[in-house]
Amino acid sequence: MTDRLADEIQAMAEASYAPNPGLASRVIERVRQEPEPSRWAPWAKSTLAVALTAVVLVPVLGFGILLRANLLRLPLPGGESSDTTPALSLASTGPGGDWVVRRGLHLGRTSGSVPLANVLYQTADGGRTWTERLRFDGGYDGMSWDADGRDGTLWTVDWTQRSFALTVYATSDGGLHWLRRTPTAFPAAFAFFRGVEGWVYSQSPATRSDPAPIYHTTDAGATWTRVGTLDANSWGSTSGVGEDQFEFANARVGWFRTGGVAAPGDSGLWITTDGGHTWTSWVSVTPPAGLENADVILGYPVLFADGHAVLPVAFGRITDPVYARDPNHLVVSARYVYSSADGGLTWTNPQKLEAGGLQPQGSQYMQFYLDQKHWWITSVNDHPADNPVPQGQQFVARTVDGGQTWQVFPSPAIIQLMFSDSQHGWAEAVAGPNNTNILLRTADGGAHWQEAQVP
Amino acid sequence: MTLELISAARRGDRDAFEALLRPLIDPAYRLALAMLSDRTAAEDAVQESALKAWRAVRRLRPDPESFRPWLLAIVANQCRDTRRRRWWTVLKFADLHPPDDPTTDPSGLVDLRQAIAQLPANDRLVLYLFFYLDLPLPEVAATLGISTAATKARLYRITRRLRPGLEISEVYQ
Repeated sequence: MTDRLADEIQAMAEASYAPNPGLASRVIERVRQEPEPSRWAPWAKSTLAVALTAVVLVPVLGFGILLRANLLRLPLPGGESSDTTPALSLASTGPGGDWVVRRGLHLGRTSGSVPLANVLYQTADGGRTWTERLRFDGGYDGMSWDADGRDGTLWTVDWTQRSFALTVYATSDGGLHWLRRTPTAFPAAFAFFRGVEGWVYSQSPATRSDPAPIYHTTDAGATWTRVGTLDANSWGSTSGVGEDQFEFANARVGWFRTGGVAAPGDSGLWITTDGGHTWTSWVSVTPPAGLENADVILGYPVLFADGHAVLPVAFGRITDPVYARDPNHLVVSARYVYSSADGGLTWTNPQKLEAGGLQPQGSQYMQFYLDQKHWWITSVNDHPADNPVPQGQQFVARTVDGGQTWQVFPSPAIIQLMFSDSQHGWAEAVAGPNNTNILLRTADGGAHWQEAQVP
Repeated sequence: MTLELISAARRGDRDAFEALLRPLIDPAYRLALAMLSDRTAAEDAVQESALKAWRAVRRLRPDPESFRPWLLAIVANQCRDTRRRRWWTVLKFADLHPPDDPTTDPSGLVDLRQAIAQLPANDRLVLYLFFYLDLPLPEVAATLGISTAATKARLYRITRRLRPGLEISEVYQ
């Protein structure tokens, strides 16, 4: 291929571009006619209005309705009073500020870490106060902490240079002191750490090699060993089943999801059971009755400490044969969760993901699996296909019996959620016309959410 | 300097906001035009986006890298709203151009144009931000409101769809 896609797109866009003389002056003049911006954010006004409305309605409609109307601002049962801290703007985070990833939240019941821009903050009081712990270079890609929160690893990738160089920061005292490992000599298209042990799927603009080398470290990036290769031959993002694509459940079992629709010989999900040395794409599931001929997208396996695992699976129909391998053109008709008792080698017992008639839908739904029994999913009842965040009323649903029964709660527009136990959880949500980020916490399994202070 | 301007703008300083806004009006217009294929609609989108940005400027993050993706995200959202409102209009990128004869277009631009026109709006937005406005990957991600990793994956997927034989180096160069 001799042409350059970038040149073509530029030429094409330029061909349709026509200068618009005086536009800047007209825009500036129009802004000058506007009054000074309000000190109150629109969502704060809305909240106040809702609160006032709720106060008026309390005697009439009762407390149950108030709960729903004033969802965001109710104090948690037994929790602290709510605050109205201005939120982060999702759209204004700079390089490295993309904490809108599942591994961007590492929050326990009271303590945890959150990266914002290029600073890592920690809280020890449930998010009421935050302390700056680390300033890091490059684009935040993830972090991992051991169970007691002492040993931690944070890694960044230098996307701006398009070299995809990986830098690793390690701490052994809970984040008080950090050691910076200089950028690796190899690129890191995908990296994943479990504590001090890490793996890299090494691919970059400069290295177009297929298969991609897999590198491994056991000392937080001090030394690396090339352990194998992975010829997944595809990158993609799978709508509605998350964004992370390269993870290890333990030292041996790891996964790489290509985002593709399952096809004979290629399930779209690669597995290693020997720490990344060898990989196979053979994961298969038996469709439930009535879906035998449906197209299938495998989600991301979640492996629990007891060896059990769950695997979300979407069944549907590719709408356009031109995009036969593109999950974005899959109309999902049903979602199921399969279970495994052998660490993810075989999958059985499909359980339909349907909560009170609500199915997870849209491309941004979230799910969280704490164990075999406690799951959470989000669903939104109005999700324009071309909008990056949910715009309609959203719900969070919880099951405590592995999907047999569900409770459905109205919720903010959650784009990320995690639970440290069956009751305590955190969520990142968006609010307002500019998709402003807010951090929420719950102490009752997701029935009520309270906005948490952010740095 | 940019941080000072952002800090001042967040305090409601109109001059500082204008200083930040002015150099981005043309990129914003280019983006809107690429998304809407309509000069008038694109100008309206930029106007409305500038007003929204001014009204919300106090919530702008005090980060020197924040203003451009923040503004472009507002523009992109405004364009989406515009497209939704204009339900009676069938927007086709190719409509802007006279009919092309593929046999006289050795560059392949016709095919590319048609392929891009068939992309979902969000996919087109990714292409324009990265290839046309030449934003670095983190800024594209910030504009889209998704992670850099997801942006990278989406970009790669889109380009692979446009050019099945495309090498990864061509995507990012």
